[in-house]
Amino acid sequence: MKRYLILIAMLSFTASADTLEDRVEELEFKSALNAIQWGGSFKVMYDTASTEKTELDPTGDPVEDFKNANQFTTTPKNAVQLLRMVFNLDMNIDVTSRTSFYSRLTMSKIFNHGSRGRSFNDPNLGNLADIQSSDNFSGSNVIIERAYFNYRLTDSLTFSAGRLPTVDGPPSNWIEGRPVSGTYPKLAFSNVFDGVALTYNLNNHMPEGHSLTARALYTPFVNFGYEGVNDAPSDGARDFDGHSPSYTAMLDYSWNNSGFADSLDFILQWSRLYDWQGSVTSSGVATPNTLSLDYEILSAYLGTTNVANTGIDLSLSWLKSTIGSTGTALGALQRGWHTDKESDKNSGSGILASLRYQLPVSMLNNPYIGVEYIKGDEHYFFVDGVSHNLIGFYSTRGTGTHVYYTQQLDTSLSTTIGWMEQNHDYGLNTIHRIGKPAKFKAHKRSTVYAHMNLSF
Amino acid sequence: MKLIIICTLILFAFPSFSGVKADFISAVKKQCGKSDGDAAKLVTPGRTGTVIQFKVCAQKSIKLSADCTISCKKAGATLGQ
Repeated sequence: MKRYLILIAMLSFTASADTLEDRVEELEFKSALNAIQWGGSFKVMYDTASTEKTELDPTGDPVEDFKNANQFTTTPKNAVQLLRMVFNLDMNIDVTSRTSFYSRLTMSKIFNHGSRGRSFNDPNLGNLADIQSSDNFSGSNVIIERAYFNYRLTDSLTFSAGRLPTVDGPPSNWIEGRPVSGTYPKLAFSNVFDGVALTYNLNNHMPEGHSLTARALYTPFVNFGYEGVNDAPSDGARDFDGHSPSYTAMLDYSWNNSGFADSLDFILQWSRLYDWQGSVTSSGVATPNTLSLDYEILSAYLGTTNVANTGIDLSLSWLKSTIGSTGTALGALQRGWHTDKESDKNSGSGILASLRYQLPVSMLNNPYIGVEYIKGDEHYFFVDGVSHNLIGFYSTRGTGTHVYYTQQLDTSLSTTIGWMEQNHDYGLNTIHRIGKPAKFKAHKRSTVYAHMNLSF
Repeated sequence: MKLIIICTLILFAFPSFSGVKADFISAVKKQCGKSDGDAAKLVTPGRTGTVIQFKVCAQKSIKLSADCTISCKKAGATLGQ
């Protein structure tokens, strides 16, 4: 019986032997058709925030992430508890040997957004709209956080264009123990920018283990169609049409497996945005408005992981911001960017120190414990457009402390609990966030959070 | 003979992932200083195996053994690379 079975198996194999090549080829074709690689992350978040010792005069917004922080904590003893989620779906494909394409779809929302309280960026999402949004025929919007291609011109030179990976840079990935997922360091220009870029890779000129990349980006703000709103002769505003140029130059250096640490990374970035005449508040352009912003940053990031094989990671981020303001807004108040003068220039700086330690407790999957400390002065100007924390921690003008613990639950699932506190020295005008920063006597905000993070 | 037949059938029944595996072995050799043979021993199969963990790069670093932890790069994270 055994012999017959073996004979049948051999015959069937022999019968298909001449088609094996075809079968393999077919599998290769199918594999090529499925060349898109998918990945992503999902985060469920519980956050609380509260304000203490808010003085009434001068009133002010301590930070300027321009989105969430000031909505919840501008009144004394105001506290908020939020349940939110963020979903990222990443895809990439090597279109040819020279060209690759990357994209990220993002959803960020509040759980069953209710009708009471403040709107969260989009007033249309209040009431029942949220819980009916999947089938309310409201439009075809999907938020595309990234969509860009790389085209390798030579072995060293790459051209990129599209919606670029300018957020989630180091050390923001440390908190959840993830790899770096953005190009700009956190303390630079933390917003999602469209534009074009040239990357020059100098690795061939570097010793083994070292890499060096130079990068230049052009990410202009494109203005058009504002005639009749701010172009009316009565408001004295300038023509909004045209580009507000925005440039970035970067040097990106890495040294892996150096002997004293697993990795050493250094990023130097300069960015300038000028003649920016955009809205200064989510509720619309302040009028009359002749304001123009010239914003320049110089940022440096130095980070090292697993120093001397101790499980300790250290990083230092520094940002110098220079704010040039011409023109005024709000009429008689005559306010400009960080000034009450019609033409002025001010510089400030902030520094962020991060320390993380991976506990050598294998039965707990080697959890992380970390601390961050931030200090910003009067004219520190960091617009954190993708902030997830409720108090705008990284934009603090004063001092702030962040402590967190990240527990790995599975190879791809982790939970992070943390606490942040800020003590503000300076704040801006509550309504339009322009004008000379006001000195606070005492202003403290804090947040406690618990997040669950899934990567796949 | 049976073993040969079964091995042959298995070999041709699945598409090749040699590029992914080669990338993994190359990273282990480079980052942990291991030989080809020792690096190959650290390959584990499946979605949660070491090769796919390295490719997907959901975590910053992947511990393969007591003396070897490798780091990976997330696709599309760094502009122009």
